[in-house]
Amino acid sequence: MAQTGVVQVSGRGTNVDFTIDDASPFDDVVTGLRQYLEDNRKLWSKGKITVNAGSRIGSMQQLTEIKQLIENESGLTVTRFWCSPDFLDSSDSTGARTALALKKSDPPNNPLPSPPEEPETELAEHFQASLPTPPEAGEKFSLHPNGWAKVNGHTGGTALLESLSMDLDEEEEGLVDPRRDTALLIKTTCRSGEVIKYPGDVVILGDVNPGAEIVAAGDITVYGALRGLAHAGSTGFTKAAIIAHELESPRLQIGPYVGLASNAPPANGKKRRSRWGGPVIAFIKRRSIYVAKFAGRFARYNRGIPYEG
Amino acid sequence: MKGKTIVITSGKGGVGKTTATANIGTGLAMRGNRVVVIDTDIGLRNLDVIMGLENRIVYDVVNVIEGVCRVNQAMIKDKNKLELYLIPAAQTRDKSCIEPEQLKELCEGLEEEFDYVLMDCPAGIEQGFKNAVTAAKEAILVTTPEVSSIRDADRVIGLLEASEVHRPKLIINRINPGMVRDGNMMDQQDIVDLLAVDVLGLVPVDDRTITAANRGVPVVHDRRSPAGAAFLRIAARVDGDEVPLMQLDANSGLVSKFKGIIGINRSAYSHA
Repeated sequence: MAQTGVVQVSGRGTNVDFTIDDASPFDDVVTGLRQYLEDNRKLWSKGKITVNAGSRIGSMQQLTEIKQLIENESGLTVTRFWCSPDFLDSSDSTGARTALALKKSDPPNNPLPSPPEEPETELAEHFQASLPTPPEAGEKFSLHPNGWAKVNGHTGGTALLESLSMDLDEEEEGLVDPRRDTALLIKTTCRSGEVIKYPGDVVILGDVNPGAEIVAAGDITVYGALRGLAHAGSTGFTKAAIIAHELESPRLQIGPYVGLASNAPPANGKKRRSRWGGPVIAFIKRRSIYVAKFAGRFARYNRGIPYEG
Repeated sequence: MKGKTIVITSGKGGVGKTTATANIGTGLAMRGNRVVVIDTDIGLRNLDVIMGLENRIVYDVVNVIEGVCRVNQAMIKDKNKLELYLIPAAQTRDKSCIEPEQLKELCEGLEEEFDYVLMDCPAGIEQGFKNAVTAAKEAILVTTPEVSSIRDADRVIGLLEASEVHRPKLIINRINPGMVRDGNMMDQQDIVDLLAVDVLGLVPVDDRTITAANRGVPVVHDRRSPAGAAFLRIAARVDGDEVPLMQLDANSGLVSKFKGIIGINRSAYSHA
């Protein structure tokens, strides 16, 4: 961790965060940032970064200034600005991360709801993130005529499954809320090697076997045992939940947060007995995945324990 | 006569596909059917060794498909004078030298003449698997009670469904009834719960399977082998008989255990 005045740089895994003191005046921020970038010029080569505006609301001009400063001093390209969701929609305060698309070719004079500033560098080229990064809000799905696709070919599991197409235009504008009015119903067992991706909720009436993968922009509900990988809220919607009758997945993900099963599987290969004795819900609490006995999708879960498989 | 083409597959290698093919084929022939077994594991020829026909091979399945010989010339008749024929795989070629459609055509021709066409599928899910599965209308899936084998079987069921072979039947091979009783091995119910397919038969682990393979005589000819008896029942079920699935349970008494070890007490495994 390096401290240079108002700019604080920290490494988290393979990501690098620039955090700028929220309270400092804008001029100090610019000076501090320039100073830091000049001192550490050799650290960056090129790459695309997202600037996290945090809770600071700056003017369009300040935004442009930050962008130009970073690009001139470091060779990095600023492609997007993020800002704290609290400032866009105080009703959705649990942290759906908001992305404001800022095309790097045109100067930022498109109408942005809240110009931000506090830069956060992610994915500089030599800091390639190997951990799953939060999906971008503007992510497009290529549409399949059926509306969905279950990938199950001879291709050995390469997910052809760029399934549904859906222009998430409204989501580029603001909140990353998946379409709440569509769900994909799967009436069979999802077997090893199958990948299901859907830009809404996914409901599975069979089991999800080990080696299968479910990725949904909304909730994932399994009326059997979930033993494969599940990623709910794949477009960054952290209010998504994973509900399963038996939750035995080695790895759960909701939005950007990952839960790993830490318990070793039983030596005899049998499934372990559920401690819950009924359906279980996994949700985000304090930036990690918690599970609790299912008591309704919109019930309040105050207790719950961190997910351990 | 319109026969059935059945592929015997597993995904994982070494679980007993070839042994199952030889024994089910022999079992069906012992019941009076006309059976042909095809080894589709081109490049890794095994079925001829298990059936003890290795030194009679002149032509192989690739020769048939390439038109070098007629089908009848490549078919090797079983040693025990049963109506059982083997079409061996080529050892000097590889899987890519035949197309799925060519094998399918061959099987459709054989269906006219035989009651059952059994195909021994290679391990893996690549070209060889595609060749065999495209030609088949039904599938028998072999697995052992191990997590790795079950995982692969699960994947293969998905691939079979994708190529329009629905509802494969499951053979659980090499069950150790003693380990199941002690809770150290997955039992039939655990496996069926996970794979969600019908069980065709349970085969206990049996040293005689290995000695029979070494001698080139399928274990169904061995009257004292529990595995051979299990394969005979499986053949009967394939043939349409209603043979109830017997639960495996190892007798716990010391005497019957001992008898089981020395092979004079077949009820040591009252297997299915």
